[in-house]
Amino acid sequence: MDLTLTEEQQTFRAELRDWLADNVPPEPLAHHLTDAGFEAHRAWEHRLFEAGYGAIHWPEEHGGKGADLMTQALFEHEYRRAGAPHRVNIQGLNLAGPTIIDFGTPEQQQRWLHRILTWEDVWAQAFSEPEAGSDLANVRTSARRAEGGFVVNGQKVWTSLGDRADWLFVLVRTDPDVPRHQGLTYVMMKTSDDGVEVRPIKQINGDSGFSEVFFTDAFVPDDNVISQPGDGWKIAMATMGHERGLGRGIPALFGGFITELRDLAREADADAEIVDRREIAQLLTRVWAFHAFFMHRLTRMTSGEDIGFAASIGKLYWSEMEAQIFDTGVRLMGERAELSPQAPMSLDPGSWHQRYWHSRAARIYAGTNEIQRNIISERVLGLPKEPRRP
Amino acid sequence: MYFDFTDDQLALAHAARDMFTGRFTAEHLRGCWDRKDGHDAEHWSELGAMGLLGLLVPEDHGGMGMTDVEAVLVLEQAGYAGVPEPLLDAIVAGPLLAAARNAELRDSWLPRLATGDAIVALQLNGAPLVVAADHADVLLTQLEGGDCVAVSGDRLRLERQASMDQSRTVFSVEFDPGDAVPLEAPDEAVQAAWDRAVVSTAAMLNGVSWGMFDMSLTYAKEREQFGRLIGSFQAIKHKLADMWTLVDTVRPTAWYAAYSLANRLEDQTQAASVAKAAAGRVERQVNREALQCHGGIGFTWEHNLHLWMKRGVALEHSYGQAEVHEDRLAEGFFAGEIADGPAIFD
Repeated sequence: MDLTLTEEQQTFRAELRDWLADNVPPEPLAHHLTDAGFEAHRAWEHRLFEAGYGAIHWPEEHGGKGADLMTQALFEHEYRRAGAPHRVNIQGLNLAGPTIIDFGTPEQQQRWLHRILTWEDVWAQAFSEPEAGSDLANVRTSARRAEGGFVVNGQKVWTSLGDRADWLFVLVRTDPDVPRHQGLTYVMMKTSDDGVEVRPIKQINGDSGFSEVFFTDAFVPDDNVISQPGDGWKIAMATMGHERGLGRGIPALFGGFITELRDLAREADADAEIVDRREIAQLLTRVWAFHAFFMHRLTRMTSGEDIGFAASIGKLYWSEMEAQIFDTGVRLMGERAELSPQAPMSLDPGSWHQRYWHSRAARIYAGTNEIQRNIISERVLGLPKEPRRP
Repeated sequence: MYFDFTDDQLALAHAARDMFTGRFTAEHLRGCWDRKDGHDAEHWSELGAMGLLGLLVPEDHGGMGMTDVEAVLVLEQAGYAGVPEPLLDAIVAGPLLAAARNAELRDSWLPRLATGDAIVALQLNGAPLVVAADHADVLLTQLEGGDCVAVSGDRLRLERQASMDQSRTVFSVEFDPGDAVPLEAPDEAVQAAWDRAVVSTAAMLNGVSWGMFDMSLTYAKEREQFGRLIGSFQAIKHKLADMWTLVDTVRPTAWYAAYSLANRLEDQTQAASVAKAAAGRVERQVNREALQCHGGIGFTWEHNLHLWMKRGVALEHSYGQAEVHEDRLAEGFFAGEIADGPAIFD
């Protein structure tokens, strides 16, 4: 057991720290879901790209640094510590991009990858449907064979950044006559194409973080199909594996949150006797635990172990922890807990309420925690599976 | 950056598990409960022969010369298997004795501790209860000022305190100050002994939680009701998923604390408190849910679950229950003295 960094890792870290110190905006950017904020975040992503930090986990041949897991984790740690802007192109960099790298043809990689890196194209995931949430295999959006491609009809929902996206990675049903998990195809579609309509959905924290997408006889050329028709499920699962992996579950993120909670408690202490410091310490121990757990997992993965379904344990743990941290923060505001940040008497330092509501989504996105518990109990613990539709 | 165990360390853990589960059988544990005594000379000398008692004793004094990282693995297994011997006390006492500047004391006790010829009892920070004091050849304790002293076993006045864990013999202890021989151990070693006791107990607790979880999982895969396994009902599946998540995510906290202690990092005391607080909270929850998973049968004296539940309650409250450590961590965190995570990447 040795927690020291190699010289190479130390050098990488030192250079990164210097760059971040020189480049991270001193004031937070405007919220990424506003027009001005979105452009500011896009510009920031471009700066990251120019410095070579855009997607260090991508292979070098595709514009990345081919960074190993440990280096990726180092990057994420330093990035959070520096308070650098939210990475808005996550879906392109971590989901669509790796999918194109793993399953796309060289021609497709040529066409799409560079523009993801430079942020010329924004990508969004179009998997879920009104009738296919937790039960993703229930996808009904159809893709009917036509000359040179497919004609798509249907509806997607929860498409994050759908209203900003240029491209969508879409799960469609090409063959309704075979068992549900088969007959699905993974296609890339342009939001500007005929027959594609995006409608933003307002979330409970006021953001339009995601959208509905309606397809009405929208055409997808064969060139925009990933791998073969019928491979959709396999590729979608690979994409979602990336979502559950290194993803949002970065220990330093929660380290930042618990520190903010402490600062909030110090502030609230002057006015309320509700602050339970012991409860905050308990959350602190959970953040520490997540650091240690994460490092152990990272070490195992670096040694070549495929943690597979055990990734659900991490997601369940950090999402519950995140929700608890923000919940505790709201409660210690006492009678002022209901006030939004604009209220003169509010104790909210800026975005606590908004992030409180968003933290509750953590138990839902990337697979609800109920589904995660099913996965853990069935795939990790070997308990009997839920009764399923064939 | 390698936060995992070597093959040798894992082999040690496996060997420990084999020995513990093989020799400390349910029958043996029940015997301990009947006798109201967890200590057995034969089993104790086997632990000595395996080198486990002297795990942290320097090799030149007859020990294995290993570190807290190995110790934490062994103690997890001891907790898992329900080992009732004062193994933890031996492991913690080793380095403390080794640090004693009182050479005569150190040289006379250390080799015998390692072989098992001598049993050392421990009383740190004024703890009211001393484990296995009746079997102790020597007690290591602290005077009011904090100085560490040794008192010969036959000079102790003991009052037995019956424990709900009937394999634990615990006592309140008195002795004449004149019988206390100073160890002359540096403050650093005394602090480390406390941290070590805290981390070691956390590791054992995690083993206890793990053991209760495994029992529950096994039961869920065997017990049928309504024509199917109870483990096929979502309520039970989700309980077990939560229990496993707790166990899987708490164990690394003790590993980190052991690493910090072994490498004398600045956060060793904080890491120990984190590990103990987390271990205690997890054990409480797993304890509760394990009984739920077992239903009525888990509430019988005959079933082994309560042996682990009661061991869990005992260990939870030893060397500082969760609340005690959380209060300390809160004080440090609010004073800006504790970081929001272990010093892993920093």
